[in-house]
Amino acid sequence: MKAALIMLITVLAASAAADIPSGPVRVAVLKLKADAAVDDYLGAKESGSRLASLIANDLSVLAPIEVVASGEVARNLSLGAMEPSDSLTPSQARSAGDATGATNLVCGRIYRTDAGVVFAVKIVSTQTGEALGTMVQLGAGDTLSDALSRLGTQIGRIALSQRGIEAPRWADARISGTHTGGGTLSLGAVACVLSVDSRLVADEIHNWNRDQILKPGLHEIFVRYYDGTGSAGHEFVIDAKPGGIYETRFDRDGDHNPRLWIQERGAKNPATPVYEATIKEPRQWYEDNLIRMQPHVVPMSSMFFQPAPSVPMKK
Amino acid sequence: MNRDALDRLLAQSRVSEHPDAYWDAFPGRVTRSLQSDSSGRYEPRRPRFVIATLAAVAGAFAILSLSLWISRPQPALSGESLKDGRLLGAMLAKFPRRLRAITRDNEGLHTLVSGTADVATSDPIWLEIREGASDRVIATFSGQTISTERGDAIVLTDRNGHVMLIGDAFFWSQEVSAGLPGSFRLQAVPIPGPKPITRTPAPL
Repeated sequence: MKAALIMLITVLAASAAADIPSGPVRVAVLKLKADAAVDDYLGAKESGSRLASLIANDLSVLAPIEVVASGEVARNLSLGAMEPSDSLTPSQARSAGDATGATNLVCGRIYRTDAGVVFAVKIVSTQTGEALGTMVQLGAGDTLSDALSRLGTQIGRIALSQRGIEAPRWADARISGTHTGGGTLSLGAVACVLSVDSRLVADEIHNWNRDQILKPGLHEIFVRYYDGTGSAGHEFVIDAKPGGIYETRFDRDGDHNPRLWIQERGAKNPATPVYEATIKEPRQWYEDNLIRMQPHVVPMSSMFFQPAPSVPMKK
Repeated sequence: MNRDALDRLLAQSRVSEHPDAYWDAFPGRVTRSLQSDSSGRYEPRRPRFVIATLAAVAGAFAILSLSLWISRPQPALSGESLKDGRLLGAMLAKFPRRLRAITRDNEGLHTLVSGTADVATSDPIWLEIREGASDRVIATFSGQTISTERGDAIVLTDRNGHVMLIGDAFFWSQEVSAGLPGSFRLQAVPIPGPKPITRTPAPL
């Protein structure tokens, strides 16, 4: 009898799997729900909508996933139907998919815990109504960028599995500095990574060529320029592609300020805007940038919160 | 009535008239009647009736016992058969795309079925929830809502062995929880089942 029931479940699951449609995977991330305690911990108001934007951005680098603009989704979707703790029927899910062009909808809630915060999300297939979930914790010793990258990767795997696609291996990216000139007694000029997501690199000048690991998605990279007498620096935001190899670059004409940027190795164009950084005496430069070297949970760069690249809505 | 009166009555009475065929058949009817009486005397009906009745009762008892054995509320049915998916599979076959959950509590087994076939096919999950004196075992599917003393929550699995509950007022997972009192105890595991069919993405 048990064998017969297992066979029955297998047949039902197989029929459900046979219903899985093919085609592109378009994920829409809706605003996450968060209360004041979460905002206080993260040090940001409206943290739910900000973090939804960051998750969407992290998802957008995970090929073959495409991201639907969340603002458009919110305008075309009854928000009551996307309460994280409510169930959706297959017909409601299909309606949401028709309204947004998304194959998968992501909604969720952020909870304050004793150790930090938890991001918990529900991923709904708009074709079948199937709902799955995933979560990550952000606590001491972690960075928001890494936590959101992990969450984005987990969402991506589930969204692909709901379309019957096995997720590829999204490898970590790497970044290191560049160096010119110098000799036996002098270092020459170097553009190195001072910090990644507020994590300082130890002895960054001498470790300029050491790879720093970047999980796929958005990261704050503080680049420091040093030529033995003066320092300059700037904080960049990059959307690290899986497996990407990035370098901090610089050029300088005579006594002019150095220009800094980040570029993917082998690429023709910079991955960030080119920034002309003011050269200062090293001690003064450190004092001016001291706040950047304090650990902070939420990224300080406003560029971090730019809208995610998105695919057009289906009309 | 004296003898003279009786003789007068007999003299006035008339013998009933029958056709010849009646009298021709009469001996045979008498003989059959006697044979019938004789058989009744030597092979009485009562023992055969009793045997038949006993056989029928025994058969009914056997059928009743079998049905009770199959549907008996034994511990394996309420516990293991909920956890290993047997009961869920059986009820799912009965209510395809309508079954939401099966709950066992202090009052017995309850089945939650949707009025229409609008329940998404999803991964089955087993939960045991203890809230104060209340103790419930639930077999349900990822994406279904359950009620607790802390409010409603949706049950979700990540298809990788992890289960979580997302509620308006609380969160629970194997690793971490939020907004739950110390008296709340929960265990949850995915019910083993076949993995969905997957395909490798085409190179970009």
